[in-house]
Amino acid sequence: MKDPRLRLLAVAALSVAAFHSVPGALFALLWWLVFGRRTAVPPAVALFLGVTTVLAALAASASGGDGPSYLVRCGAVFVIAAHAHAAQRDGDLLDLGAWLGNRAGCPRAGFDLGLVGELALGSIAAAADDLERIRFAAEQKGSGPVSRWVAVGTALLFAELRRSRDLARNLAVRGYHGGGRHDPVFSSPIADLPAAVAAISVLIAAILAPHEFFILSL
Amino acid sequence: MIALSGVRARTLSIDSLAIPPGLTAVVGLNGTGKTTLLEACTGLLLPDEGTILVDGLPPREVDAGWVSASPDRSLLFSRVDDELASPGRFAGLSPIETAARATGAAERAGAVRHLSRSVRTLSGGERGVVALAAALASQPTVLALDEFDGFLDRETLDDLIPAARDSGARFVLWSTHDRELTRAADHAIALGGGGVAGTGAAALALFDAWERAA
Amino acid sequence: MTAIILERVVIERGPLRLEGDLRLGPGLHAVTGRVGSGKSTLALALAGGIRPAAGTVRLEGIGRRLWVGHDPVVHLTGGTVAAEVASWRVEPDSLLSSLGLADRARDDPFHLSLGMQKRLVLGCALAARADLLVLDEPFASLDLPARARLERALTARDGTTVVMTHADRHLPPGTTRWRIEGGRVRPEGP
Repeated sequence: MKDPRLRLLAVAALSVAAFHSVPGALFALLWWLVFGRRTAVPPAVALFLGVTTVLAALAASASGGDGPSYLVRCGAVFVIAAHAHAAQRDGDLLDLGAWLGNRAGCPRAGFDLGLVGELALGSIAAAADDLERIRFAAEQKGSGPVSRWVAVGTALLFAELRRSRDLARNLAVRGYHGGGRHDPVFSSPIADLPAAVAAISVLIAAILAPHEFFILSL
Repeated sequence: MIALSGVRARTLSIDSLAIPPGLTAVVGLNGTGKTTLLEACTGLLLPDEGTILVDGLPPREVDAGWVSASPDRSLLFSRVDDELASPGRFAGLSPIETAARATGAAERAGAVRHLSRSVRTLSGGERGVVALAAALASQPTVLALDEFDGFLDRETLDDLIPAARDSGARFVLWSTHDRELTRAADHAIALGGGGVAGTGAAALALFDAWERAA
Repeated sequence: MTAIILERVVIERGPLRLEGDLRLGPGLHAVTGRVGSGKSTLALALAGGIRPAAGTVRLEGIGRRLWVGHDPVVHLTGGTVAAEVASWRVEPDSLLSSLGLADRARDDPFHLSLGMQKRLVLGCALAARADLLVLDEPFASLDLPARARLERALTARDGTTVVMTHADRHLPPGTTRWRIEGGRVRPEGP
């Protein structure tokens, strides 16, 4: 999905549907199989989500809860979340925040919200790049594993402190005093309509369907 | 005119200095205070003592542009378009005015071919070019370029010298270790020994001294 | 004899794709190329920080590989300048006086100017005596005397040294030159 507005709507509908009930979760997974599989999720992320879901389900079972149902519902929520993350494009948050603000009659708040989201995402990506280089640099110094991680932590902390100082400086010289004007232009949402309508249908089906009709929840 | 009098900032002390409009090269060995001078003239650093006036105004009341030595450090956004549009958006201009400013700045800095790119895919030198364009888009009175030629190849640098001079900024302060850039500049200031070591031809002559010392 | 040999190597990083079939023997090598041509990526790949997507990298007589990036900050892990030198397993006293940093041994390296940080990190990397040393834009941020000292140190070094630079006029005679153009690393004509 290219239009961030419809993507946000679809992800919200699917997440609610998936968490609502096992049938909702299965419908959401079906949606993902049809519309979402083309976005590649990194294997490490998939593994992490899978292991977390299974562990959480085991914990729910052990404490007397409904483990299998939880497993399916949370698994589906994670799949949708991973899809949303992978489908994210540069600048989406800025556009989305500004659009929401303009529509809701509070353009200043919307712009700032989008800006904060954009800068936060950028900082995470930059910190990941820094970490890669810092880790390689520390590895080369050939110290032991513990002191190496302390060294990496120190270097990363200082790199991020410097980054936040640069951020403040750049905002100041660009003339930022809070708020701003941005009327984002989105590519045509028509191509994304089927996926969005399907996601809404999943939510409606999840609410209408009997809660626990499936064999997994017996 | 940027007028400095009795300025003490970090390790730098300048009793009296006048910087005329145009492109000024700021030269000096490592650790002589080039960055400090640029920060003080753009209002990013308040001197411990003394006064700085840009055409009679304190630097903080004058629009400034800044490009850092490490190009990564001068950028905010993940899309080049957003980077160049940001000064117009922050100033609340109409989308048409914002776009015109961004395109104009991209043309002057030679960043047009990067416009629809993601910043993550730019190399260090390309980020420097985009950072210069973003600084030009805010139409600054004082533009500070802090050794940012260090990562640019000769061809790119030769294109950017006229771009900086014709940027529309009344004062362009460019700290550098590059002799050709210093020669091409309208003015030159050399720092050393805790203060100003020379201006104009005397500053340029220091390159010979440094090369002999090497 | 030290050498790093790239056999039909393909390196991919984001939209960038580099191909190289080359042998870097003992002595000083310089790789030039326009901004964005992939010098930093090649530097990381030579030092072992990026695995090539295809082809093989062979090392001959090379044990320790060392990479210094263009931003010195990523290398700084010591709380003081002296501790930073020690973290490279180099004896601080003599190195710091030769770098002109003897009076700053107890200072926080993050408070040095960019040029001074660069001197510090390059000085440590040279003193650490790696068999393969890969330097990304080492001349950037250095003043002229420091550049000349670096040039001499690079020539005097044993082993294989590779410098990624756009400032090719700082390279001493006898440097083997390579150029990245159109995604390929080639020897530069005489």
